[in-house]
Amino acid sequence: MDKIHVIIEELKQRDYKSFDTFYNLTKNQVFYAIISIVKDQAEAEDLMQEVYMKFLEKIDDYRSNSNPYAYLSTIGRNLAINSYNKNKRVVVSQELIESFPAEKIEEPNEDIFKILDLLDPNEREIVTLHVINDLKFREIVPIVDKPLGTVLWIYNKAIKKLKEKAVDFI
Amino acid sequence: MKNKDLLRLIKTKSEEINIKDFSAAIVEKARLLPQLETVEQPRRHFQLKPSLAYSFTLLTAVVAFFVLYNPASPIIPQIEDMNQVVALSSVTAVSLIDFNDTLIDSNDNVSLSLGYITLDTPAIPQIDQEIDDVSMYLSTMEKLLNSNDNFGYQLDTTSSNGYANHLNFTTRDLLNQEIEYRFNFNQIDNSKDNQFTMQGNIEIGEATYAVTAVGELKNPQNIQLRFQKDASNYVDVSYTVAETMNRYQISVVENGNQIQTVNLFMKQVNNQKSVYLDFIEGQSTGSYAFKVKEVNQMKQMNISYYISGSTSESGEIDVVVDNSGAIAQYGLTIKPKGQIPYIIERGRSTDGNSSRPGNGNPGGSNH
Repeated sequence: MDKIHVIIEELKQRDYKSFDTFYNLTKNQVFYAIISIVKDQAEAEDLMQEVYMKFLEKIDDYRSNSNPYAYLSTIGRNLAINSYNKNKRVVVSQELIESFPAEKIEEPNEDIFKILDLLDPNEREIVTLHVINDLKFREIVPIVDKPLGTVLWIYNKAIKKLKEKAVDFI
Repeated sequence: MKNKDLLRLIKTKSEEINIKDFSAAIVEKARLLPQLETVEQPRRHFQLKPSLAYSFTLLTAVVAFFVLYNPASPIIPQIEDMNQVVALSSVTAVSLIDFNDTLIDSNDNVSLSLGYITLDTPAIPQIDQEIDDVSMYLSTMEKLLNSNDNFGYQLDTTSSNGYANHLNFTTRDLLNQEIEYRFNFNQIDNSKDNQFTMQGNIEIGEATYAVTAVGELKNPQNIQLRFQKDASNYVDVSYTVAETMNRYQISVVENGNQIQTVNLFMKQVNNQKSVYLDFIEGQSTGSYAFKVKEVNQMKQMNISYYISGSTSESGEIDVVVDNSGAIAQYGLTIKPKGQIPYIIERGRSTDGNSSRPGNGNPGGSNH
């Protein structure tokens, strides 16, 4: 059993002594799953705490053969969408990604956010989950609720777009 | 900018962000959570069937057979550009080394992808037991469904390397990539016994397989071919015409044991080509109909299946080629009727290393 699953087994026993290690192993995945939707670092950091609390609350539901990064990314995405819905009083979730208002977006300072901003919301989320969060496409499918073929198509389109536009960030 | 440079850039830039450490605060809150009874979830175990190493030989056998013996389309001798064949054969050689590695890597990579948070462990559908053997035929089906009907064959009757005839032909896969084949053979007709025999070999890149064939001179509706890797590992293909249907029966022999026999039929209705596969001997069962469809400008395969047994099961499988990684893989979305769909990945034989990319791969990229 790898390190992260050993820690998860400990967490299931309410043994939190290695939680900081678990946090450091997974914080990037959680952060980027959230920020690809909310696009605000402070809000993303607030939601991160909620993600981990949700994970610990429901840890008995976690299946031992699951990918913890995909699992946490799913929780992060769901909470980010809930947060957005709450703030904007929008109920529709799937169309939500398509409809982020321009006024919500602030000009980012960090290169990674500038790079991801070159993409539309669907592309940004799939690139984030695959490239930054290291999830396989088959793991992304249930998260974004799109067919595998569509996920691959969006990803390839995004990479093509970034190859043309991301040269400035080298 | 190359794909790998771009991906490295994104990864590097993402790691530059300083994410605050909330672990202590989270642990403090977690300690206040009510204690719950721990329930161990049952683990799923996948018993993988024997490796798919024979699919390449099988593909060669099937494709070669379709080209070699098609009574409706007599072979017309034409001049072949040998330079092109040599060049493409050189390219194809490399991928044969990758072929088995691809399969092995992928076999380690099997898992269900649904049921993240709220779903209980689903019942295992019957197709899950069959999918490894069905996957053996994906590469074959890609080429049968995407290539020209006659595979653009050309016969060269110039004697060389001890062979009087050289049949060259090409396949095209879902990524619009072409693979070239060369079948070198001598034919001996024995009118007294009403029989002809063929002996030769088939070349794909640097790989060569021995081929023997026997058929009746006056009855062109029966022929048997054997494609050999060695004396105890080979594929037999038997062609017959029965009730106006062209049937190809394919038997796979591994280490002297016949491990599988299937029937294969092709049909075309309203310009939609379909290939039907029936498992008739071996561990696997079921009937499968393969066809190609286009979604988001990407070619995909769709398989309709029916498995009978103590309980019958039917469903659909969508097959896409994921070529976003260094090695292309199949992504299979398995949709058993009335059960929860799930996704698995399987290795994809390159059968000649993507020898000649075409223009029909809008989403194509490699990194």
